[in-house]
Amino acid sequence: MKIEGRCIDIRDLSVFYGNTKALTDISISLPEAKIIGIMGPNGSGKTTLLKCMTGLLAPDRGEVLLEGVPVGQQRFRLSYIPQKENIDWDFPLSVRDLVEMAMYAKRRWYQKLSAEQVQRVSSALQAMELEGLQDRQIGELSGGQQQRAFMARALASDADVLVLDEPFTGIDAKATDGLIQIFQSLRDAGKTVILVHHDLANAGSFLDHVVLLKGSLLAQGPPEEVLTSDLLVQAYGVSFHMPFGADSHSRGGSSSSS
Amino acid sequence: MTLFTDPVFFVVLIGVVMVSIAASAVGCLLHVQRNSLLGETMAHGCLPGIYAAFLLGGTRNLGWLALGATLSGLVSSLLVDAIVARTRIHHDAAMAIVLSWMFGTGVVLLSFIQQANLPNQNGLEDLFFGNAAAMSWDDVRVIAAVSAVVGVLMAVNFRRLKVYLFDVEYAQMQGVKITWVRALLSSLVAMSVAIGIQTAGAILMASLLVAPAATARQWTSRLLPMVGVALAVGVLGGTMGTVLSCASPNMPTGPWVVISMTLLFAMSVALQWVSSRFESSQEE
Repeated sequence: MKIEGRCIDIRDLSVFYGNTKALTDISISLPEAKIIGIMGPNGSGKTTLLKCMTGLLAPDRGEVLLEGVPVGQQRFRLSYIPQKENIDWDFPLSVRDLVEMAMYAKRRWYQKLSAEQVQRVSSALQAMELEGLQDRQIGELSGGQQQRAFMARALASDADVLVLDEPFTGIDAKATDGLIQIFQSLRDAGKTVILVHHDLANAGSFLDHVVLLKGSLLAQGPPEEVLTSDLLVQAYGVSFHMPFGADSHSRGGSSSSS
Repeated sequence: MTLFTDPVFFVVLIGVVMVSIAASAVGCLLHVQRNSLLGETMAHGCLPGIYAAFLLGGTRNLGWLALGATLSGLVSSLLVDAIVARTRIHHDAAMAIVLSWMFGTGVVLLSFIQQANLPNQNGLEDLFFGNAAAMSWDDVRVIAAVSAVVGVLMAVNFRRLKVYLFDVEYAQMQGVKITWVRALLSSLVAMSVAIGIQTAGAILMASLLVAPAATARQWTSRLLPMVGVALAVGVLGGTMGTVLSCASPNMPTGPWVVISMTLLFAMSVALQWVSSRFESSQEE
């Protein structure tokens, strides 16, 4: 069933909230082992699309396939990292506890983690450079560390596809660069990274593939083809000067959720 | 001390401590969900079920009344969910509406029972504030059985509950049945509240859920140790309250348990404040 070089296939996807159309007739094939940005103005359906991809939200029409099989049947292959503001950072949970959540489905209630699972948790923490912080309560981390802690949970679960909703929100330029490097090394290791992204200024510098949404699909493809002034005017209704390829990390654009 | 040779004292002590254990453990789950007032809502929501069970069964057997209490506690939680889902009213207002309505209904049912002059009705009015002194061995057996069910359900489902409470979407992706865990959580609260109505009453019961969890959260930032500390606080507060109320005549146990637990909470806040001052003065 495997469709070569194609990771997620979205077919004729539509989602309604009551009478409001959130997404209409989206059909996209996303490549694997790439960093894929989902972009568009507020209310353009980015988060809705993300939730359909992870199988958290059942679309009203259409389907999402991961290598030819509906995502709902293989949710363990994806890991969803929610928006920062949807997390209770005061929850009594250590960084290690958070990463160990990746193992919950794999053991019965009376079983401790196996040596192999402990090792996987440790190496995920190590990969995200969090070994020294593993006993901290999650709220005691910086913004970038918090994002990395959730990435570590995704890595420990061995997911092939990482889905992130606005990972750069509330993170400074240095941590943003660090996170981008992590995405790149994950991609080079064969993982697919899908993220909702807002910052047009740096989008071209690290995204391999862009999906531009405004309730329906406006365009998709490599950033230099999608982030053109014509298409951006269509999406956002205002014109932008695209500092294309420039490595600027100015925090432009809106960072509120859609 | 004659108190510690008094068999009635031991019956009450064992009953109160077991009620406190169940309430402290379940209270931690509500605390981390930032939903502590659900305990209050369900405790008030227990009353109509208790009186309805009495009307149907004509008995004051605690097992029977606790069944009614659990069911009507669950109804109140479902009502809150239904109001939130179908209207623009938020969770807090929905709980306020349901708890006062259920309590009012309970009071009306009680006056109906009293006017009808039904047999065996003595003591039903005590369920507002509790009357632990009237506890019998039969009651303690019911409390023990229900606490054991609460404890086992919580232990078996602990990880599931933790993932659900922290991150519903992740839980869903891990294959946790969300509706099932929600029902489980409501049932745990309803059962722990139902067995405590006789001890602390519908009005004070919530304190047994809230105070130990709040005290424990100050000293630990991981869920399992938090439950452990809350259990210790619950046992200590329950014992303190029972001893204090039994040491002098005609003192109500439930309110004394509540006062003891709140006192432990206040001491914990003070201690936390002192130790943070001490730490910061060391850093200077």
